[in-house]
Amino acid sequence: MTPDILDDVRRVVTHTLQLGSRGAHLTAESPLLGALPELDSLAVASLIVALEEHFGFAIAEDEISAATFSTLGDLTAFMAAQGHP
Amino acid sequence: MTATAPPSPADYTLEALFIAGALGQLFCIHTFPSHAPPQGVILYAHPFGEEMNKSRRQVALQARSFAASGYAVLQCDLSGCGDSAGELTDAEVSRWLDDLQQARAWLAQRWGADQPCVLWGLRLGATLAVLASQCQSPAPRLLLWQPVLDGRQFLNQFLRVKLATDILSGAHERTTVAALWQQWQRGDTIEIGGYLLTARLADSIAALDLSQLTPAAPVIWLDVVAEDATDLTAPRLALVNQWQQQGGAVTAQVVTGPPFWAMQEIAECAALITRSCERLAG
Repeated sequence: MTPDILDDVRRVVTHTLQLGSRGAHLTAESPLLGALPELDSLAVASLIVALEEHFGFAIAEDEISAATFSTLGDLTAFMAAQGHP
Repeated sequence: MTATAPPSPADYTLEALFIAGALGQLFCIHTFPSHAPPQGVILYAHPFGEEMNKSRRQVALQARSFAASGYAVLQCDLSGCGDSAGELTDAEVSRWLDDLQQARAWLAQRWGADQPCVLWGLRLGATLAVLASQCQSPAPRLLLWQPVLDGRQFLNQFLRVKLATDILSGAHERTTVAALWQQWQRGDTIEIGGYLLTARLADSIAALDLSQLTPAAPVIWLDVVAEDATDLTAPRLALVNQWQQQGGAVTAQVVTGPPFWAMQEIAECAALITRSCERLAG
């Protein structure tokens, strides 16, 4: 997994959910969905938009599932795959 | 930059009132200087849906700061929104523009028609403000907070909340943004997060496109960005450049802070208040 993309995804997640110092401690293994109380359906939608804006490409919605948001690493792998289809 | 201290409650006066709107009475909060007549009036246009609720605190704080620095501020819940009359299912953009016209007329009646006016809006409210400024005479200055560039994209993002709800609930039968648009094309009403969006309302919002408008008065544009960002994002900068090339007096700046209109916990952005007061005075 590219460390650069992981850093970018961590930054977008931290800002969108306003995790503050908790964001800095997120690793690829850190669980997101179910572990972060901030991550409700509104936040998931905001996060998708923020990721698209940050990376500059549209995310294929039908490829998103709850597993996409399982851990920070899962989300990073998903974004990497979306950027290089 | 140092954050300005919040104003003393003695410096502003709060008044709740109703004015006549497109679908009945409109609930308004009027915040004005306590000790002297205002040096100008500000009409606020709120954002759509949950963004309206999430931003109440930030907007109230800003209105008080404006009032303490000499402006009379009218915050008006648009028809079918907040505490105003009517249902969202009866609302559409043209009615909201009528509401803003009524609110401007109320300010003119209360403080005099020659008072300089600023239309201030947040997110979709900022988009409405640009449109409203073109139908009002003389055209009011614009203070735009994080304006929505494109109504259709904005609705797509709104529809995604519905998709996200499906994703989080693990539903097998998932809808798509395209399928939801087809429902609107058939004239159906779609419920998203407790808001009922009719096809008519969706059409009127989808038609909003800031790149098709040219502001008729000077624009102060302020975006809230993350700590590591230094400028507007590329598409937003492109629109600002377009308006400048069309001869508009547009200045755009960013302040660092949380996206308070979209957060689960109520947040505020003090830097935005300080900057807005500075820019309006400058």
